[in-house]
Amino acid sequence: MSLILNGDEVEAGGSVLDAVLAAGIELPHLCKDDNLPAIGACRTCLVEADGRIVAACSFPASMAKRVDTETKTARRIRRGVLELTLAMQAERGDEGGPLAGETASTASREGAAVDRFAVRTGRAVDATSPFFSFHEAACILCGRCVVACQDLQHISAIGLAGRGRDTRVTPGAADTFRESICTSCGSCVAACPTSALRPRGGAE
Amino acid sequence: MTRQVPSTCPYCGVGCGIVISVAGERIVWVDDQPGNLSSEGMLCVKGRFGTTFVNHRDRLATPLIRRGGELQPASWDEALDLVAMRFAEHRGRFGSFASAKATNEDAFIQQKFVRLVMGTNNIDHCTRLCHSPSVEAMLQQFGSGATSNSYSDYEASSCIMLVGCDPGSNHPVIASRMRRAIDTRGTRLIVVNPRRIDMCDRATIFLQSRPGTDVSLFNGMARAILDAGLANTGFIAARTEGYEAWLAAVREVTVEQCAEVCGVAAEDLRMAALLYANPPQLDAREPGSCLVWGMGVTQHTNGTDNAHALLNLALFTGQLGRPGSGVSPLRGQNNVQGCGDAGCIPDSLPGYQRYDEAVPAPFEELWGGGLPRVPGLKATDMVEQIAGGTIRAMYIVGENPLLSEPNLHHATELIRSLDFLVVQDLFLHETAQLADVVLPACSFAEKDGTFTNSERRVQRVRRAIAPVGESRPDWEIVCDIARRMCAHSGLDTRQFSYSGPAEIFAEMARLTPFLRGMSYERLDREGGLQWPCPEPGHPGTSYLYGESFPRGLGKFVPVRQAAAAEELPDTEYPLILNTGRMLYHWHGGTITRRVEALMERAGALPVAIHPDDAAAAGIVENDTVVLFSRRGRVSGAAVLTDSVRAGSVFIPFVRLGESAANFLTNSAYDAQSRIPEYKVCAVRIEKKRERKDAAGAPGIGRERA
Amino acid sequence: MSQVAGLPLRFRFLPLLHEAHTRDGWLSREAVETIARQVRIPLAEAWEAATSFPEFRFAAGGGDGGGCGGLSCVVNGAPPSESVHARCRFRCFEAPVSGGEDDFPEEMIRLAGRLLAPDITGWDGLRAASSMGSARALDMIDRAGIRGRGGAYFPAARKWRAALGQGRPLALVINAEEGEPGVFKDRAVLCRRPRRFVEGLAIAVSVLRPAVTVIFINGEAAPARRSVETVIAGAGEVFPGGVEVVPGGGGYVLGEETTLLNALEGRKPAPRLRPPYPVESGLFGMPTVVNNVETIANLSILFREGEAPFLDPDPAAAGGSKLFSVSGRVARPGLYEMPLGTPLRVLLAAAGEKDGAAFAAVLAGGPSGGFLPASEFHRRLVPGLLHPTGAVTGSGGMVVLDTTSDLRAAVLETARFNARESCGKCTPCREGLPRVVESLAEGHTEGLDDLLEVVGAASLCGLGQMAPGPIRSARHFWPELFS
Repeated sequence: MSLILNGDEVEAGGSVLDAVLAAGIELPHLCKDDNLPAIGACRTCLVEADGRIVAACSFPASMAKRVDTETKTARRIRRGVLELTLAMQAERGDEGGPLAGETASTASREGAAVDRFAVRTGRAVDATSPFFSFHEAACILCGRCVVACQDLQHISAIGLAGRGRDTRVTPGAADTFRESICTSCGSCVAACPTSALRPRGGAE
Repeated sequence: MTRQVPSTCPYCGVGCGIVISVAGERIVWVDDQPGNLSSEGMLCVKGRFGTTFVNHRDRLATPLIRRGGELQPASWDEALDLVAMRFAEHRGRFGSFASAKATNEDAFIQQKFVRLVMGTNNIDHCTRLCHSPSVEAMLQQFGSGATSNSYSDYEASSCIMLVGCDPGSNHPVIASRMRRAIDTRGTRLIVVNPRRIDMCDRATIFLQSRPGTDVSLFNGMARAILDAGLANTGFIAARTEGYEAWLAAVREVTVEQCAEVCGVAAEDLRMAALLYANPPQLDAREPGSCLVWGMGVTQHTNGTDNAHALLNLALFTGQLGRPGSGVSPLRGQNNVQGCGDAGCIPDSLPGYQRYDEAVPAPFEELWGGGLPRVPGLKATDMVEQIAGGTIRAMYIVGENPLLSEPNLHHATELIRSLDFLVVQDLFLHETAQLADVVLPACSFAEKDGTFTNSERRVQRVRRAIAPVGESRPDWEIVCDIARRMCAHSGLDTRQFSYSGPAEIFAEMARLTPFLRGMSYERLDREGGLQWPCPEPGHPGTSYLYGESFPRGLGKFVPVRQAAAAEELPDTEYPLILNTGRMLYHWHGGTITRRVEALMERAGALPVAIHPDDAAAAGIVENDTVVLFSRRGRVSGAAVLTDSVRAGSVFIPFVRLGESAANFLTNSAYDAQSRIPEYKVCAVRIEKKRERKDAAGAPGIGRERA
Repeated sequence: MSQVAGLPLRFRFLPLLHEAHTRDGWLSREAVETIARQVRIPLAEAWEAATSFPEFRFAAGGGDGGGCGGLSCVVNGAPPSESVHARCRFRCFEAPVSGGEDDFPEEMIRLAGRLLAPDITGWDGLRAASSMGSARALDMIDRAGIRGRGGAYFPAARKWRAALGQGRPLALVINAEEGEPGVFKDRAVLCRRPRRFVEGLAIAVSVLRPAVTVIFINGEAAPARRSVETVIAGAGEVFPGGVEVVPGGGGYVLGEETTLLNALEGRKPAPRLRPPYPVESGLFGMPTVVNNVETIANLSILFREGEAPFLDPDPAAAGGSKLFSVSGRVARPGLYEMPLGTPLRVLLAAAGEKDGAAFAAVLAGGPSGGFLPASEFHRRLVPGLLHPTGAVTGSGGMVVLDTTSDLRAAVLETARFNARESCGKCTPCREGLPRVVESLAEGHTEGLDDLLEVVGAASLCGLGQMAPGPIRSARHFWPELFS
């Protein structure tokens, strides 16, 4: 299978995102872990495929003839989504969250403004596990931790409880990770793109 | 700058791929390895968060020599000279434990040293204490002692029967792969365990059998299969022998009688048997059943019988030798498979090559010396025979028998009475504290090598940080001792001069037919390879016995239920003690007690007791309780749970504070394999009486209080 | 607990939750965990699913106050939804309303065509379909051009053929969730013409031969559920494989069919990625046909009366009639069965002005549609967009505003509804819609068009994609409204 990607013909088998990344083109994909199935939640990998805006992570390359990552529309919409995402960080200067690390550099590359929207997010901290802690103020609800816990490890200690803006990452129905069925495998920590779940301590 | 080093997890036998992030010669993060075929991007808490022991302040930094009763720092030369001299004096009264935590290369060099230089086959490792009955039984019935299948077979199977194991705690990533099969494909799960383990949440059938009654359980299942006409007659006729004799033993019992002995419902026993023999068609794949077991089968005085009973069932139903089926003893340590493969067992050379006439020749030729023909002592016998003087010097590498042996007070007395003890390890553990010389060894993170996991996959271990202190890789230390002794033994010192682990592996592969196709170059390029891999172009083998068994035909071995255990409850000691492991600690805890986060999570010894028994003893949740057996006492924190049968208590054998399960356990042994009966002994429980200075046992009750 | 043949135990999750909720009035953690264990759903999965249904409560006491915050009630004097707990109570024909659901009143069937004619007896349509066999029956559905009445108007025969073409056992799922404020047609059919629907279902079963047949019904629509269950129970051998009637826990987003399938599987009700499409891999991986109640009921007409009633000379109007739910500021609110393609003004004329106030606007297609001013009432109610800014025929919900209505409040109410009903899975919908509400409420509309474009283009499912319609249309026709 081949498709025209940003004007060049490329061979592609999996998703459009696979093709884009294989071609060395930078494209945000906050909720797509390299090793986990697509979630399609963060909507930052939007591209134009045959005139439609699609999420590259879940759009099969075989269904596209022509894909452009840098059209004006695609860039504008990606930027808008990133701006909504950036407003999910409560603590400026935190080591995690969308304002730090990879997400921040992605956002700045895409020209997203950090202050278009007023900040909104919870501020709960769960430090009951000696292995990792959870900082809601850095969470963008991308769902990678949930996929790691439910679909990779099949533990199912983490879920996205509630809906709409009330959605929260929670250790199931438990109040804390310590009280939950969590086995502390840390796959969620590895999957988290914003260090909302982050390892504690380290070597003594 | 952070650098990433791909390697293999040092904990259980699953053999997960890890990527170690290193900054400033310290491990800062351990990530999973999605491309690893055994772990597929998964890890558990110990692999991910449990490697800080590597830089723990307790790490031995220099050799220690006992002077005036005290262990004192010494130079390597001093220590090695002393060891070489004293070992030479003890030829003929010498025994050695190898480490199932060290690499294949370490193990190979150690057995080479023991056989070639010390002239004895007295070498063994911890498999004696875990799966020796499985290995004995499999060798007898199939001609090979290894897991017959792969983790991928669990996911391809229609039915998994877990017997006497708790993969959720001890092989977490295997548990995840099983849960994946159950959740996404609808694979059925049968759990046989006296304790309700986590996996029971997903079980179709849970048989909470009485400890020590496995022979009855599996003979009963065989009878149920026979009665239902589900025997795999084609397989039996074409691939097995000894069927009639075995059948006679099975015909002696009925399903109902067996269920009665095991304390399970006959209907459940029958359903489990039929499900295993006739698993459902889930998709296009041919339905198969996997039989997976742990120490609940083996650590009994009838351990080998139990294993035979299990394997008979697999032969009877033909549930092995094709994808989605097979038999798997789950291995507890990262390299327990490899340590045996490398020859650290008293009756075989590397590759399980027994001392038949032709076998030693290539070894003697390549090594330039003669090998002893008399089989050596098994680990448990080495310790027992200290008393009689057969063993007077020991070289214990990466093992802590004074936590892992049964009846620890007794074992301690024996070890203490040795003339010369050398312990080579990371920490000054219970056994090391009694040593004459202690040699500091490198951890997995400081050396190159290979581990072989539970599915026979040989995988690379890579040096991520510089050796801590003056520690050195085990193989280097052994080579240094050996070279010092070569001259007196008429050996060429070049036999113990290697450029590195790659060269050792090449020698091992050359001498071991099933590894012959492997090399570091291939392992680095292709990732882990599963033996048998007899030639360089061979892709490795995911399951065994497709066409035939190494011994030709599979052999039925008739077994009959013997006494459930050596020591059973009485009025004085009314409860059955069951021992095992827990997620947050590994084995005796020598390593995991040096991971602060693990200790924070699990710092107290949990004593699982049925609410009825607790009520009778006036015990409530979190009470500090004391368990007594005829041999010792331990204390811990009561956990009231109906996951244990009434009349039973369960504790993990990790040492926390002053408490370790093996102060209680019985040194009764299985006759064939010489495994101790860790799984059953009689105990009494009491609530600990209040004392003013409750701090008596550090660590106990701290977390839960 | 009985297990539905061939389906995992977790299929029982939602019904058991609904049962516990009905019994206790709320769901405790323990109740959810007990049910989760019973049906073998890992705890976190169970918790995230349970907490995502708006009709489930997780604290004892209180109740929902009885009021209704639906748009029809708001324009008829009810306080805006922010001040009441309840979303729409789907009795918009008697707005403003309070309290739970009753049997749909016969008198609210204002104009009956073939579908709403007095209920049928016997199984003539089923017999006709059975005697011609699956292939010919499918051809007949194809020729009649029956399209989905849930609002997407996808040709039914094409959907069925795609599912049958998978060559695997398939599932037939009837969506009777009806979570759109201002729409009450499925409830009316199920309460008042259940035999018509059940015969249609029997025909679908005879053609598709599904391994499992499910009716997913709004959890609060107890009268409708009882009515259809009674008829099915009396149908005997018509449904050899049985029919599972599953009550839900509410949620507008369940109109999105993959969300509905997740709900049925005991998972969090959030949309799945496509592909795969439900006809390829739907309920528990089976090829799955999801149809609306009204679509299915039309099959009974087709196989009793032939294709004629569905053949319209105008190809833009898919054949047959449509049930229009008319509410808001009209003299005769209720259900009107009219041919597809009927001009909006004809429908409005039938409903009549209330208290002599002139019609000012119609919200066509509900929160996923758009507003139309009086100048657009000449438009014909055909499948698809009625106006590029958002108005659609949709599932036939027409909420009418007159000169007494506060249009601004109505737009804001619709925006709030969408923000509240967002499942929360994707960022633009979850984060963007509340920003839209803030922007409208505060009158700061700078950047609003850009934000609406982002939400519409970037959202994962139809809820977010179509949420901008009411706002965009209102701003188009009444540019002064938010300035």
